[in-house]
Amino acid sequence: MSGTEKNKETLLAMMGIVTVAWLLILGATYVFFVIVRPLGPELHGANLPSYVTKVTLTLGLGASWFVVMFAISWLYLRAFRSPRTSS
Amino acid sequence: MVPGPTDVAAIALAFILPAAAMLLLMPGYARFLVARGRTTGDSHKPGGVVVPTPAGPLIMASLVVGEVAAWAFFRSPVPLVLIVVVASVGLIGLYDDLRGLGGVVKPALLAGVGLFVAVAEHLHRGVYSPVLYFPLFTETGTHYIIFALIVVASVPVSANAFNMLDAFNGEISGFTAIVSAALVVAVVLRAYALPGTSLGTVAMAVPLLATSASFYYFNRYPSRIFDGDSGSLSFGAMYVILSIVGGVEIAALVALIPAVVNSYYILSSVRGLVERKRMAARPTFLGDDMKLHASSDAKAPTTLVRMILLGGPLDERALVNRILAITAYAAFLSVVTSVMTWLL
Repeated sequence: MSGTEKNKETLLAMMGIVTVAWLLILGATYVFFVIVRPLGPELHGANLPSYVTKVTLTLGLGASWFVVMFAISWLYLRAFRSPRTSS
Repeated sequence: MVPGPTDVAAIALAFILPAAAMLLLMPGYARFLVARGRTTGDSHKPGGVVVPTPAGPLIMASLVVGEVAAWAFFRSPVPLVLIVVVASVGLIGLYDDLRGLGGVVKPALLAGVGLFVAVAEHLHRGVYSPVLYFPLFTETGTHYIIFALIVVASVPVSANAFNMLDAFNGEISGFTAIVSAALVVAVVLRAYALPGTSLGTVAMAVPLLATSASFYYFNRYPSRIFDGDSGSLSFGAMYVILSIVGGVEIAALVALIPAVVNSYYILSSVRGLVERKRMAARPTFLGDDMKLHASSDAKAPTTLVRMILLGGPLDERALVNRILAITAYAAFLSVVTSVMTWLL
């Protein structure tokens, strides 16, 4: 594969990473509004277990974004890394 | 909401005045910096090229001029809050430019600026709305404490994300111009969709676009001036606080994905807050072919630039064009998000 082709591939792959990050935000929005939010009453009126469950699930959604992005970077580096030496 | 003549005049002045200040004053300011010996080497060019720095004070002044224009028309306290944010963050950055700040002290000071915004909302309701608007679904409930915590954390996160993208000619100015254009689209759509929304938020948002786009003229390859931390931190803080006072946080976050991904990969690869100058190894190096190469050093941080360069070496101009292409794509997704939030 020529250098130019590989450069184009990395650009497309980076745009793919941006797309995945965006879809994860939309997916997390769906899970938040359809699953997490209906769990019990409004946060201010919730009892402790309901409050803890909702906040924990919301934080879990945020954490899942980071886990997936880390996995994608690992796949990216594995796909494009080649041995080079720095000067 | 349909803009009236006063709205149009306010938005036009809030764009024209900062752009004019930047374009007219920057040449003289650059000469002033050179005369004072405030220059630094451009490490990605051969032959010992030196460039004046920092342009941050003029960037701050330009942003302040735009916010004063917005305040003069709408008499809202929000532009005054934005002026205090820009001045405070700019001064923190200027101290960092001149003396240097540690990897923990700087975020702590920036969080203090976020705290000021949260306190301003507490003292004067309406600085921002403690509600998040999501695409396709609806808004969250009103959560003063949770939202205040988000505001406090957002300033150091965003300012440092911008700062970490400030490495190449035209990178930070082009990046800021593109994401702030997406931000302006978001606040325009919000003002159109939500009855009774003031167009003041549009007038408050356009100075960032005007300042960054006009600064790009001087900062693009080959740079005639560098912004310094005072410039990049001001851009980052202004962007995130504008997204909060404008009520368009999710769309703003989407435009910022390249910077967020860059910061996350750097922090996860170096395992913590480390000042860029103190990192064990550089992510890229300038080869004998005068092109930038990805470092193969295991200690080097994983950055957006290093990931792009894994496809092969590039000259600085081509590299920045690729970064800006990725940013433009994220800005497009941000506009799609705004349409999904306010029009669907």
